[in-house]
Amino acid sequence: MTGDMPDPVAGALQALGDATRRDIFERILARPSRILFLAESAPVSRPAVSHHVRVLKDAGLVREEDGLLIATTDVLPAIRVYFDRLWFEASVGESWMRERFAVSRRMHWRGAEIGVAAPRSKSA
Amino acid sequence: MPAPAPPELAASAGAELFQALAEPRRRLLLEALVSGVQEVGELSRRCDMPRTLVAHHLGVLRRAGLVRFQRRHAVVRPECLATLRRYFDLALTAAAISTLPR
Repeated sequence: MTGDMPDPVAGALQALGDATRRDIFERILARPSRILFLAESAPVSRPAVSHHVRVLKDAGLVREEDGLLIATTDVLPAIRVYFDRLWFEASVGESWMRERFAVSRRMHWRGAEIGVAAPRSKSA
Repeated sequence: MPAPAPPELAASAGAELFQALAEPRRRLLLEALVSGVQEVGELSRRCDMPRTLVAHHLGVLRRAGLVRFQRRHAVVRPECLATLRRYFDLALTAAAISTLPR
């Protein structure tokens, strides 16, 4: 069901697949920084850092404000929801749904027994 | 002075994990797996990939810790997905803090 996945999530995950790029992203997350500062501590050349930053910007993970690189909150919520969903489906999903459904049906039947299952009738 | 990456963020998920997730076909497989498809033949049908490619990508997912094999079936490891949730939770919090006006 990748078709359901919003493209920004795919783009961001692709951008974060590179270890050096993810490291740069985490440094920007930790503190808004300038390219020069990032290049000083990165294990790659300055043009390489610029390239990685460009990819992070294109993926919507980072934006630049007066030369300062800042992590955005544009894509991260959607990525979190994506992994929330996968985790939920892989762990509790189905059994939780089944259980909830069974409980709500039981309540519905009990409601019918004691005569409160018809919320649309105003006189009840 | 450049700030070091927050340690809990860097340590919470490995390079292999992110590399595994960067490939769209592996995410497609992962999504089929969590929806309950486990057998290579059916994964191959469902994801429209040759069996050899499915086997290759499952191998990458296994080395990344996302999948384990139980007899001949691939099973997703939820604890690995929980690690990713936590990672992006932290990332979102960090990003939200850094976008606050100073």
